[in-house]
Amino acid sequence: MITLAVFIFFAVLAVVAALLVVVQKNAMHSVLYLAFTVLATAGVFFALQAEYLGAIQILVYGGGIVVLYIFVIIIVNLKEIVPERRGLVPKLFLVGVPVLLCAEVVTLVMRTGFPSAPSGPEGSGFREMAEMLFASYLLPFEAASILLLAVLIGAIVVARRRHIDDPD
Amino acid sequence: MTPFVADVLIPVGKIVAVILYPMIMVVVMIWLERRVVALMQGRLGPNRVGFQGVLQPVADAVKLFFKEDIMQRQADAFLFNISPVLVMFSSLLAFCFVPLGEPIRIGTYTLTLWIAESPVGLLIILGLSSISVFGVIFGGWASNSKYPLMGALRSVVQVLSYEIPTGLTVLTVAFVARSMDLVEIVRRQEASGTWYGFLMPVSFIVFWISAVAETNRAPFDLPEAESELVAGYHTEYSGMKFAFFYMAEYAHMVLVSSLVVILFFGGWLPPFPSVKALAFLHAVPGFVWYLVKIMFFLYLYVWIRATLPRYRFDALIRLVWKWLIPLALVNFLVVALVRVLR
Repeated sequence: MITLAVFIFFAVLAVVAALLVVVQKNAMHSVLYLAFTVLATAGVFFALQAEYLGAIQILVYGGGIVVLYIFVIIIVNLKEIVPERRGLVPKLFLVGVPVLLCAEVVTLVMRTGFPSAPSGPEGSGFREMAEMLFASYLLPFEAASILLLAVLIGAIVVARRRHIDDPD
Repeated sequence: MTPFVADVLIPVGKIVAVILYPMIMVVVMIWLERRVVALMQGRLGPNRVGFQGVLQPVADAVKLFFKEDIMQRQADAFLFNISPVLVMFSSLLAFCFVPLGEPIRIGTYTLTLWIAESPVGLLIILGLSSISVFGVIFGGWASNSKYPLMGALRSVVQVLSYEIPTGLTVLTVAFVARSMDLVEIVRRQEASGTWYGFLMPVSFIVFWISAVAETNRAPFDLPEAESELVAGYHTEYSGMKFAFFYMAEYAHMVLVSSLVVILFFGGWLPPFPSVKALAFLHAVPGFVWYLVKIMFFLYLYVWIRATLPRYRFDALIRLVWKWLIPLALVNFLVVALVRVLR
């Protein structure tokens, strides 16, 4: 009963914060709400006893990704977004596409049955996660990380200015 | 014991305690720091309010309560007001997962001296302490003034960089204890008879240096270097909002000291837990041992602050990326190797 209440509380919080991310005009406020969304999602994971996922959500998304967003916003110095005047067709698109996407997601969720995960004291899930990553799917996992590394180095090479003497 | 006491009174009492305990430690620390630094520098320090000046932090807090709350016109009011709350929230919430002592048996009821025991408690605490970065950077940005912004940027670079060696050394402990549950880690140290700090001294030293850097304390207090940045990210804050930043910094120090004690120095265990001749040490309650140990590390914080001059910013970043992270990686490999071979 209490678990359900906690779950609903965090779920509603996550959805409301996610909506606020989109409607804010100030990019920094959006990021704050994004942080709230991330934390509320972690709360949902905790309510479902997926403690490992919740902790990783806080650590990686909260502590890592959101902070990177903040950095980018500070560095590119985003000003408040001035709403531009739009015609009827773009407005229809603005409303129609999200509604369609939402409908698609809802139908998919309604059609798919979710097998219930095993729970218990070991139910925090990091053993299962570790077995998946480092035993069943080791090769795809490593390949993905090499791909990410290559992309990272590529981005640096492309973005770097020529003729810099770096003393360090 | 009636269900009312067990299900309502005790949880509520614990919640109050988990908020009060860091606050009391903060007050003690502020007094201790000012007195000890003063003694080390051949001054007297605050010694007028109460016995030896112990009530000085209380007087300061009262003063801050009544101060005018200033916010300059260009500031972003929403972010400016929410930042101190974020910093404080993340520091206090983490204390829910800190075991303060061994469970106490009262008749059939077992009173645990922690609020939550989670199989991933260690990760959650690390995550929460990285959340406090939000408060710093939002506060610095929302002030809309140059020194806070520079302080906030420095702080984030510093905290994010030093989180990597912290994470790597914490992993070695989780590896040896085979658990990320703080209570379980202490129990494993009890069972093995060795504190992990002596088993893995490199882990401890790297963790401690990164911990001092993560709490933005001297010699790594670049984000609030007064000679360069006035007061860093909280330059524009006054009154209770400033006090929140200030108290959160000290609460974070208490949290980090607790983590060091739990991960590397046996939490609530007495010294030499497995030596028979020293069994009488078990007569002292675990909570007292825990307090003695964290007081030592809090004192160490003050000691370091009074001893070492401040780093330059590039030296600070070089230290972490060129020394601590490689060292932590090698240390991790060695620990993993020993763990697998044994």
